Amino acid sequence: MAFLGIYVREAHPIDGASSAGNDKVGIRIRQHRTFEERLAAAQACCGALHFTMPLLVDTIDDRVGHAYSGMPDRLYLVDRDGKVPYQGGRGPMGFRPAELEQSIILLLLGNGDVAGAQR
Amino acid sequence: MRMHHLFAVVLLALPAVSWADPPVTSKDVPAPGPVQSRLWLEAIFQAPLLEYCDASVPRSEALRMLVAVQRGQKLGPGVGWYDPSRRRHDWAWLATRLDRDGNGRILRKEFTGADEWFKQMDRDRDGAITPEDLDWSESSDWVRRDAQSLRLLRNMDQDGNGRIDDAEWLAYFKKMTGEKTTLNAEDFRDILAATERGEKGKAKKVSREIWLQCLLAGDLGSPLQGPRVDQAAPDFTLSAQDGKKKITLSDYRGKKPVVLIFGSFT
Repeated sequence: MAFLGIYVREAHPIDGASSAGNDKVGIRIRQHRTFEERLAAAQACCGALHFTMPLLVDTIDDRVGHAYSGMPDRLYLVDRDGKVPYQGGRGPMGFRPAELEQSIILLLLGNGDVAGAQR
Repeated sequence: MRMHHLFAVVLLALPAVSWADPPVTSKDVPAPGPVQSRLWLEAIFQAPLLEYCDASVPRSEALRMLVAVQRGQKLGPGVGWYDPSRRRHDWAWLATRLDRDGNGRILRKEFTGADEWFKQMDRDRDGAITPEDLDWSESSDWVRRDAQSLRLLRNMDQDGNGRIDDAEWLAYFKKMTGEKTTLNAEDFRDILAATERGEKGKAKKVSREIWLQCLLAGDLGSPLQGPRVDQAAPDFTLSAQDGKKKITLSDYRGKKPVVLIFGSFT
């Protein structure tokens, strides 16, 4: 099982629809205007949240974000044939890790992996 | 908002094209600009005609969202483009394989996976995997309780770290008891009722114009719909947060399934 994070455009930039919750904890980021800005934001995010998985950074024209309709946040599962067995609902409401987890279990079960150790 | 205002907003809000060579590559993934514009312009022109259209006429996700924002509707599941998730592995898939006696219950002995997996599937811990355990719709009691727990946690979470320590717990208790020193059943009822309402004044007031600009810029989501169940996942190559290492999705094909997590810091 591989996990890839994909850093897309900010959901609540301070020069857009900013959020009171973010202000409260001092997270103030404007919408990225260059790839370098997005890279810096992704690095800050990694550092603050102690990421262990790779965090890929989307191009500044949001190519992968649009291809997957991933903004503001979303979960997908891709099987070994490169097909999508799970397309999460659009975030934030549709962002449900527990729901994805069930699809992961059933995918692995379907592949014949009966031991939990396959994770 | 008049049509020509919206038109101007679309043109201003679309991200500026970067003329320098991008430092990373995306294979199989075209520049989204033209598709984005087309979808939004279609939505803008279709929106005023919606009331004259039959319910059977398909409405794109972009159209549904534009109309919801224009009408100032409270955004949530089932409103705008917030459709439920889609998946291959639903109850029907599972029951065909494991519910031999067809009684709508898969017990531990019928489940071929590990203990840990059974626990995750038997969401309500009643000893059997049932259709209710796979129900992620808004009408599910479990989903409602889960959402309510999250709201309660947010009400109590002072430092925003997603966890409640004893100091926060005590502070919340003091806030709920006020001058008294104990909570009774009615107080508990009021605490739960507060999670239904949400704390007033917490949401920042954002003007409809800003909201529409954010929508068209892609902050709230893309007008594209993304790959559906059993469609091919678009291949791509992006660089990791170190700015150097590159990862290609199709490298995992034939080897491992991949979870993709889209998001941002804010």
